[in-house]
Amino acid sequence: MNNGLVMKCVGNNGHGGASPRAAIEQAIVKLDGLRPTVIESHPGRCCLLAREWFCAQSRAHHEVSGLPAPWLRERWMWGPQHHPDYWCEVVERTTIDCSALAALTCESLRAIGEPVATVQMIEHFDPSTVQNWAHYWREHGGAYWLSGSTSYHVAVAVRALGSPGIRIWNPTVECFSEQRPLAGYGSIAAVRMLVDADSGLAPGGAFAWRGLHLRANDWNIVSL
Amino acid sequence: MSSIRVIISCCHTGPNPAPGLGLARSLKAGYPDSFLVGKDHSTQASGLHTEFFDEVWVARPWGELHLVDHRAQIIARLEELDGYYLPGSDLEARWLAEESHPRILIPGIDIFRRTAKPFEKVAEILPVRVPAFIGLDAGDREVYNFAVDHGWKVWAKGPVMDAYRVFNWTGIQQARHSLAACWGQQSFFLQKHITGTEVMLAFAAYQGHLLGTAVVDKRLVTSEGKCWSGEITTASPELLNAVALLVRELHWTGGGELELVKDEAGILWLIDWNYRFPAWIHGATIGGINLPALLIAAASGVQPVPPRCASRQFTRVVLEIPVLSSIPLPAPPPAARSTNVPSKLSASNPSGLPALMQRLFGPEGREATSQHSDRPARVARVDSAFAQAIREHVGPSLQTPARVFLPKIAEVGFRQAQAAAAMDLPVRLTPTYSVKTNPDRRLLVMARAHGLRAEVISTGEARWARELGFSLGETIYNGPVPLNPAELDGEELSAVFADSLESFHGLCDRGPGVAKTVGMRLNAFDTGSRFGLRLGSAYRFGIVANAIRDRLPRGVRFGVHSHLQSSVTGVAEWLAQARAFVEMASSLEFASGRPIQMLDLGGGWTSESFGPFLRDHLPGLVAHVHRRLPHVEDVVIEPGKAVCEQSHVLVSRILEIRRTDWIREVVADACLAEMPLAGYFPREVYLLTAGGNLHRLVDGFDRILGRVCMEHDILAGGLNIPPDAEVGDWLVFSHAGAYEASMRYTFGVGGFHE
Repeated sequence: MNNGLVMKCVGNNGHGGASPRAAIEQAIVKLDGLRPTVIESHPGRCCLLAREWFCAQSRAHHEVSGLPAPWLRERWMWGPQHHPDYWCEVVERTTIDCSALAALTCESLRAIGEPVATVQMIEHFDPSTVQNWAHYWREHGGAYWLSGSTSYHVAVAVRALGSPGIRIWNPTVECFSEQRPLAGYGSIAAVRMLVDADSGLAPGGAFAWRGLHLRANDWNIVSL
Repeated sequence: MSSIRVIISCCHTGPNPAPGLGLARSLKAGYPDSFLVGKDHSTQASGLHTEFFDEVWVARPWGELHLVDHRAQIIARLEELDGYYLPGSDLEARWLAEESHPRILIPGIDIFRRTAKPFEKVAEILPVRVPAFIGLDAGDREVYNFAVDHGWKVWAKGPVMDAYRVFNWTGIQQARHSLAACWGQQSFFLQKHITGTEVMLAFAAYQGHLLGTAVVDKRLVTSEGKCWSGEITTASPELLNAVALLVRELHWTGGGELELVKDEAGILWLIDWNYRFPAWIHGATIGGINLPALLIAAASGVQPVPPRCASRQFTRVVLEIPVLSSIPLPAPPPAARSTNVPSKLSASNPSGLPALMQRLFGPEGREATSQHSDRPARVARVDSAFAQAIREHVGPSLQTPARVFLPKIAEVGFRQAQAAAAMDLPVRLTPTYSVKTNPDRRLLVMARAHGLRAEVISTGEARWARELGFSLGETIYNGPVPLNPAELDGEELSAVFADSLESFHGLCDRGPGVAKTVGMRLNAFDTGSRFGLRLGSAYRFGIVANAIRDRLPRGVRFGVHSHLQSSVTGVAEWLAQARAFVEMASSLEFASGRPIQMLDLGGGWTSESFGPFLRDHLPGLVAHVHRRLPHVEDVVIEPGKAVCEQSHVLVSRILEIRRTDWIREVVADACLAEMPLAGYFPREVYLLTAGGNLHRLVDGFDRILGRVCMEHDILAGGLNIPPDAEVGDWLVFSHAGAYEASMRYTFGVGGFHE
């Protein structure tokens, strides 16, 4: 759940002495149980209205800008939050984490009929960054999303225009991940695309991304 | 001394850097023992103080130089060094190209002419397109309509450099003024803005042979849009082949840069073309492509050190370095001129490069040809029906200033609206005449005769419309003034739209009988408009939905309204906003449980854009409304100025003709009181001489001043007033029938008209 801030690497290589691949595998084992946010609804009218408003905003933004997602980051800051999420609460918050932001992005894209799937990611940073996040999250559930010098992050996969593959949109930092590094500080180490029948993407297949074939619903190590 | 000796000009490096320092660093990388002379026109050109130059040459600022002598100095120094010259600005390259020299590595002067902006000829060779453009001399109304058609996403551009992003008519006028101040009577143009990803391609060529290219993918840009960090990539084979073909065709020597934008569809648009290396050129060298060294190698035959790719990515940094004692900084400016924020111009050009622009193209350069009488007036076509109407109504007996009604022309817009209402659409289309735009009796009668309904913003307007034949049952009332039904004798309106939740509550509390349709105006989506109910938060959305569900009386139809001026947003943006409005309305319908039966889309079209809108966009929009809001029975549009702005002309007489240095100004007997929106949008201006000649005035630098002592009382500019104009001739201003008429006031005539 990084916020995309770039800091100068300090100290050791961040792998705690283990090889890069071993460090990633270690992180996968630790973070494998994390599940993406699902925004729930109360039985009354509160969540119905909140969700309908959110979908209306998504569709309207899509009509005006052609882009469904950037308005989300203008509205919600990244940071720690309490779980679980309900629609009537999340629309009133000013700060949400990357998993909630990805959930909203998925809802926003579904509102305009775009296929979308949640993508879990493991990213490389360094011990200093990870330690700082751990402190930041101390009051908010702790460092359950951090492992060594890596962090857990959530993004979304969308269809790539003009090619059979996918693109991974990172709603937290508002960029496509195709140009992010695959080595070094802030690089992507592993991804897991969660594809189900609701995603609009063919479940069970492999998805082309940056010249790789990502297996659906399974961790793929992509680090160089 | 090294065999490679190069004079490099334009060495300032700031937020908008020149390429000189990057060229020097690249040449030092390719030729470590090269001898480099950094040349600029101010000791404040910061790159001169770096260790990459073996010698510095500070010439006087461009505004102080004897240009012929300076060229001779450059050539003398080149021959003394037996070296090469790489200019760092387009303007200097163009100046030097006027007398070519084999050691000045620049394209020939004919290339500057063949590749002149807006680059149509270049685009015929390259796999790129040129964004739509129109000459700023095409006629103000044509230029204005071009900007409206492109949603005011446009740039005003000079003939070689200079570009201003403009957002409204005032901006176009200011840009034209600034361009004229620098470039004199050159051709300027307005060009569509392209949204997309910037692609900057640098190249080096020698005698028509392409030596290499590099593309930068910008990652961080300055507030001026200049590259601060980026990644070096390669051009597509198609683009590469086309650039090779182009430089061969042009027999290009020197560096160059194409500034392209790739849109969402992947189409490349040519935005700019530079006749020298870009400032980011050393980024390419860091990425393993040393274009300056390739150029010098081709010219000298001396091979450079092969480039090494240190990283495909590069970034700029800010460093403090010692100033060379031999070229100390000048004294600070006097306190009276000192500001905490130096001007953009002086920060980017301490060498005074704009002065060279002015000397080559500005008033000094055009001095010999700027005599007013020498400048031929461009003849613009005058529509024959319009000419006939003017001659019918304008004559010696007309007391000016006068607003003259042209019934035949007025009827055009109403007929368009009538025809639209008769179109075969899935939902009934109800055009309504916006009474406030011009409550002239003749226009309201004409509107009714063509089947339009009335749209009013006050009970006073409603009563006026009723007096002229519109029943309240065919009148739509819009806020922001809350409706007081008592002022309408209890008669039921066709529809009333509340501008606030408070107003909506008030209408609902009165129960049925106020209007067949009670609705609300929604705030235009994400625009910050002051009007309408805001739905920008889920909380507000819930309150509004619950108010509709719980308070709107049964048996009353529900409607929604939104309004943006198409002339301000442009048609494309207006359509996008209309569709966004439909989406918000759709969710409001779902959340409130009350079907939306009337949808009022507002208006704001210009008279020129209304017809194309009705023909090209309205049917699709109405079909979309029908799909998304299937309960809608009436789609309302509110043409106001679209149908009446050309219904009147303002006729004025020339009181005085003044000659200034190189333009002509006439003082008219009309003023802003008769044309209060003169500065906000243009109109066609005609001169009717006593002899009966009718000229449309376009393409020039002359202007028409109003009669009152207000600085901003300028009725029109950018005109060429013909030499035969005389005091007493008539000036006719078109498009004076909408708000120009309804918002006119009494001023400077010695008393109020009660």
